[in-house]
Amino acid sequence: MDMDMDNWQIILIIVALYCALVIAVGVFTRTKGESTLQDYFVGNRSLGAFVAFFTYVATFHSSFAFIGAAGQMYSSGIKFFATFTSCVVSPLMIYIIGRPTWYLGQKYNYMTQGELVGDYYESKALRYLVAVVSLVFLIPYLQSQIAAGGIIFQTITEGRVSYLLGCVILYAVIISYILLGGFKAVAWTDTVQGILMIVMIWIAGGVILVRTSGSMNWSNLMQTMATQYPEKVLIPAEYWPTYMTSFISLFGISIYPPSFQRFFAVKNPKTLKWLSVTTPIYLIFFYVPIMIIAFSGVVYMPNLESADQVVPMMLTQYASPILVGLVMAGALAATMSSTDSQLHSASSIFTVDLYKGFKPDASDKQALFSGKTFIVIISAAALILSQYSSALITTIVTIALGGCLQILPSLIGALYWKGASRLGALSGLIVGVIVVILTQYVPAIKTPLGLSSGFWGLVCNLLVFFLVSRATPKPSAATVQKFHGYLEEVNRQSDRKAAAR
Amino acid sequence: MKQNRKGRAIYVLIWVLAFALVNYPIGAWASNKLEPYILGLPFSVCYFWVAYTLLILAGVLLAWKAMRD
Repeated sequence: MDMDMDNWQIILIIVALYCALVIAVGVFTRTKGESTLQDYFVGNRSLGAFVAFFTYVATFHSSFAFIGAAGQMYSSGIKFFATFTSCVVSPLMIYIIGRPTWYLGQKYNYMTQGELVGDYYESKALRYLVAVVSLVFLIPYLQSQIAAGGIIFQTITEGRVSYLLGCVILYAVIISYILLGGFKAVAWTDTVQGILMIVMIWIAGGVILVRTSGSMNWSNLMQTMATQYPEKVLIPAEYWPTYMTSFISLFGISIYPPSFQRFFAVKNPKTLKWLSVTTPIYLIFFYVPIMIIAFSGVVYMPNLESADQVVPMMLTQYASPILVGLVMAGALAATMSSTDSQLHSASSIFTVDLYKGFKPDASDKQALFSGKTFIVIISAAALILSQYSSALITTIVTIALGGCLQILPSLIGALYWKGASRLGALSGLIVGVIVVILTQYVPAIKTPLGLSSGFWGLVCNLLVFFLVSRATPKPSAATVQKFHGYLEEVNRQSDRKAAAR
Repeated sequence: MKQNRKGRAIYVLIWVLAFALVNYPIGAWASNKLEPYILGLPFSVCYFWVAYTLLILAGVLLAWKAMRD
């Protein structure tokens, strides 16, 4: 038995132990007795600040943060820094969109975007359309995550576990704990995964720095980068417009259904307020060790075939097999924590918006059974799609977020603008989605001026939403009062409390 | 109430100024300078970590002083 064989076995054992741990979390968090829809989909609205923090950041940072971001820094240097604005602005949406959503969810028992939007605009068609748009754009994201999981398994076992088997293992583990524990399992496994991700990537960055530079001092590494690869520590001015608009697409992360669902699930609005400004600490400083690993890769492994290999290759070269196993478990955690939330969210959209929409008299037991069946079916579909996809993970993710971003104007109308109308929201959403697809896939109009498709979709969406809303009937006065009247009262109470302090 | 709004506007303005540090044109200017080296980092790299830290702090200040609940 040679040394390499031992290494992959050690790594695989650590990853297997990690998988067993998250399944155990699923078993531990499962509801004793019969579960309700509120329990399974929004954890009885009882999520505390600690778990809410980690479930948000772990859902935000997918496998891209571990593998793709390091690859981008390896090939393009700090140009990637310009996109960090998304890690600050997107969480702010937790407060801007999340706070009023929380109050409305608490008052009227909403569990999905479709329910809230459909109720405000008094339109079942809009509710179904929001649900369908969300589902359509969730699938590409799901398939990209499966692909990343398959690659991780294949890499850590040096090809002994095939890509397909890796994908199947990933899904079997995720489905097990989602079916067992629903939202609570997703939130708690996210917490375990979020902690594992940040701890492991910082340890990996430190170890690689010490092994390559001889100490924790990064001066030599940075000096080498600046003298030999100056283009990688500078951002050319012409890159800015692209990055500044791509972050607008990334607004989509916070209204992306898995993130949005957390707005309904937290215990109180104060949690949302603090999440909106503290999660960037995790999201941004996650990239410090990623930068060290990527730059060490540039200096010590300058000719990698694929930039995305930089993290596993640097680890294999410079770290012990135990650390490689733990970091790869972290990478797998990043994949799982996004995938589980997406699957669970897709199931809630299907069950609450579509199944209950068409069968309002169905019992919770029947609805839950359909939701769980849907998880198995949609995951199988994403698994099959992942075997045929050849598009880059980043491109897929950009379309998914840009697509879901098109729900934003109708949400803003329901939460902030009394002038919004049903037809305005419907037509804006349809136009926005069409523009995203056209500006992403039609070569003649692909990302005009270098600006992202999500941005163009949003601009057209807002324009149509505003113009059509001006010309068409608004929701009834009772509904406007139900939403805006209630939110105004909540704000007045909040201001009175603040003034009294 | 008016004073309350004015107070909030100041914290929003602080946040917007911090946000401007990581965007065009200030961010673009800073991201094209290698020197001076600070804490062993080229100016461009150091600048971004510091500017994002300031932006996060501005966000915390905003939440503490201006956000409801």
